[in-house]
Amino acid sequence: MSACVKKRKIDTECRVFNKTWTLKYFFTEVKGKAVCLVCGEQVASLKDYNLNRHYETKHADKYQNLTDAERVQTSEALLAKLKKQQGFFNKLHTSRDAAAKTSFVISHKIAKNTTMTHQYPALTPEQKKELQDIAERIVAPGKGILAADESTGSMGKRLNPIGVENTEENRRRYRQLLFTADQRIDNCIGGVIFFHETLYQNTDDGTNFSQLIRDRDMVVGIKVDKGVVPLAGTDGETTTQGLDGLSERCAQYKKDGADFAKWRSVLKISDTTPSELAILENANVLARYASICQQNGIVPIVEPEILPDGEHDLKRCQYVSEKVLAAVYKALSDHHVYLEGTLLKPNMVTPGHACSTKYSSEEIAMATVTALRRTVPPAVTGVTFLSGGQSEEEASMNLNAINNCPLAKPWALTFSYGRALQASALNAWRGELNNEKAAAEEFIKRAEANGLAALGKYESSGSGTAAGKSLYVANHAY
Amino acid sequence: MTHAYPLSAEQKKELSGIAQKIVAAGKGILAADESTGSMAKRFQGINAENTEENRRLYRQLLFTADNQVNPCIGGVIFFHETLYQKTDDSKLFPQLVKEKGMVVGIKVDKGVVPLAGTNGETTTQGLDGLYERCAQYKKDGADFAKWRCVLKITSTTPSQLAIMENANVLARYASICQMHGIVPIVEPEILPDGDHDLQRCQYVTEKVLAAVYKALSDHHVYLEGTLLKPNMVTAGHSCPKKFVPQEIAMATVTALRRTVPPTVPGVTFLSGGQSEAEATINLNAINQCPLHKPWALTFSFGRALQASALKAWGGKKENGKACQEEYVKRALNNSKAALGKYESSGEKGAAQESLFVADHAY
Repeated sequence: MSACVKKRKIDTECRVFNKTWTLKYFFTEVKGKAVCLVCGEQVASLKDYNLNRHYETKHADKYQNLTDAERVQTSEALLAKLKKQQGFFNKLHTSRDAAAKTSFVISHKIAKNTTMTHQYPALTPEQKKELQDIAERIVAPGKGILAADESTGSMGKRLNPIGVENTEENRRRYRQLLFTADQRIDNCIGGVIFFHETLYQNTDDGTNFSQLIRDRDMVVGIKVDKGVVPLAGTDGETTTQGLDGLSERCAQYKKDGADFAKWRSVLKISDTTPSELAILENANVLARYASICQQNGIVPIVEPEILPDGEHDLKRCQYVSEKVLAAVYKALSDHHVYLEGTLLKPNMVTPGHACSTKYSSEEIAMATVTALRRTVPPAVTGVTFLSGGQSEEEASMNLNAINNCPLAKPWALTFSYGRALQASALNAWRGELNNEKAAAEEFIKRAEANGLAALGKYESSGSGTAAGKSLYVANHAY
Repeated sequence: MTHAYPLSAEQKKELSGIAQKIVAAGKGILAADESTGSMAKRFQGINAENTEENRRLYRQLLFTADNQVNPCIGGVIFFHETLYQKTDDSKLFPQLVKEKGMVVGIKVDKGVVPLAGTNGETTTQGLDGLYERCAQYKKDGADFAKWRCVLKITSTTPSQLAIMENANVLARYASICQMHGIVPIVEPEILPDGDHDLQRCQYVTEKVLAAVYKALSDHHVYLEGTLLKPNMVTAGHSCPKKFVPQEIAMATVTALRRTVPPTVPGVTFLSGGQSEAEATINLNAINQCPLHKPWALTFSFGRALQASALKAWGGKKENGKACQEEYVKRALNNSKAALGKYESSGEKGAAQESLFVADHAY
């Protein structure tokens, strides 16, 4: 390394005249030099400090009180004068140009002094298009979502009852049998939700799961929340955490093949719940999550689950669902979320598990669709129901009834099922290699059933659809 | 707090029935509810004296127009005075209007008042005694009501307070109406004054409507028994950029799709400062917009139905027939526009469709 450092030379550093200097300091550029418009003096180096110093010491007292409009006019006038003096035949700025420039200066100032009713588009048209296309692909007619995003803890609850050890390898083998089910599922599954671990697991022959799903033309999704945490001062209510570093995580997940995400908030019905706070806080955190996802090209599935625990009736669940969804969509609006690039994952409207009254699928459908019609704007691309505690057959029949409900339904209405797609498959598998084919068959069967239900075309054994239609009571009672 | 004490099933049925009747296919609303002060401005323009008798004569012309107007008008909004006026042969106006199959409505707000601490923003008063007034209006034949809130777009408005306060007062009004079997028309008008562009208006409209529907939800308003009367999404009057009807339609429908729940039976646009022709063409474009629109999209026009009629009348008895003809013409045109079937002379429908740009840009 040379001991002698060369002296810096100005002309080797390619200094460029900065256009803002014209308005700030009344300078212009002539043949690579900065010329003061007021006195004609030339400043040798194109440096902000130098021009500033010249202006401040010599002319600021005269020009510092000008409005922006006056500055523009002044600089125009001085420029014109200079050009005249130098005999240039440039076109003089017309007063219209000056006015246009003034309005730009002023509107820039206004934009900086932000008020809330100015739009700072969160997304470009290209970003919006990408998000909407992803959402539409997931809920294409006859398609729904396989929710295979059980956390390690949840998988323990699934594997224990069938006598399987909750190891990483067992989880991998189990998800593999779902993801490698034959081509019959291609028509019914639009997207698969992954748990983090699963996104980076491979098949036996080394194919990454995320890649495998994408190669089958299904959209890869990722669960991004970090579970529920208590809300102090409430009756056992919770919010959901996971916002910290979410933007960076989303960026990484997008690179790793994920195009949508899921975040679950939980509310429950009792005499005192859900409280105002729980509704407000969960709506807000869902909206923050949604906003961050969209910034990273990821479609957020918004899941405000109202648990079916309790003895409340259908009407109560409907009422609460309506209040919760109204709050969710107000929060999404406040957070500037692009609705066309989102999906909703709500509970169906059902009575509580311990409710003594039983309701038909049609009543559940009517209550559900009515609640959605009162709260979910038509711009939302699709509604992908969670199955909650419903059996596989219940979940299919209810989804079918929902799609046969005579009220106008401007969004896709389909499934995002976990247990309701996997219960029989898990039972058939029991961890045995020999049972894999049978297990896959069970999964395919439910996938096809729900694909039909999403079209309103599912016929469960033993009940014709014709009998079903007459059971839809007019919605004034809802 | 999450227990429901809703309207009865019968009350709900009555309200949704009324709302659907008003916005039945091809029908819209004649907004004939100009206050005495507003009528002064209308009459001044045609050099007629603003007397009670002149107001009665003018409204009579509208209400006795030829029956071909009946399939176009689902409802008529009255001003309080007009509700108790009669035809020359002593028939009460509401009675006459009902016989023609139209629903009678009544303006119930009492005008705008300033919001202190804002940049010239307002809220609307009229809640005092509204409960009793609604009961009386229902007896006197009214089945729907109208309440107008006003917001404006500038660099500092609408403010959070203005949006929140107006949304809240609209929800209170709506709640009170429904208790008396009166369908509330909810009108959050965003004025077209200013030089803002189409996108700005769309953005503000989306924020305002989101607040309105949250307030209606909070106040337990039965949406199936309401109607919305919004501004179309347009650029400000002094915006240098001009936008075609298809752009206006796209922006309007997109804003509504993002905020208005599907259960709302109908959206009855106000005409604001638009000319009769403009209002009709824009309504038509809105109904031709290729996006899915689950609510009826129709008109609740005042000036856009009456401007030519007023002019033709000029306050002179002998011009009565000409006045009615102008009104009937506008009513028929808007009825077609509400079905997306209006063809103004010189414009082909096919050419227009190609002007609808995909909504990702909105």
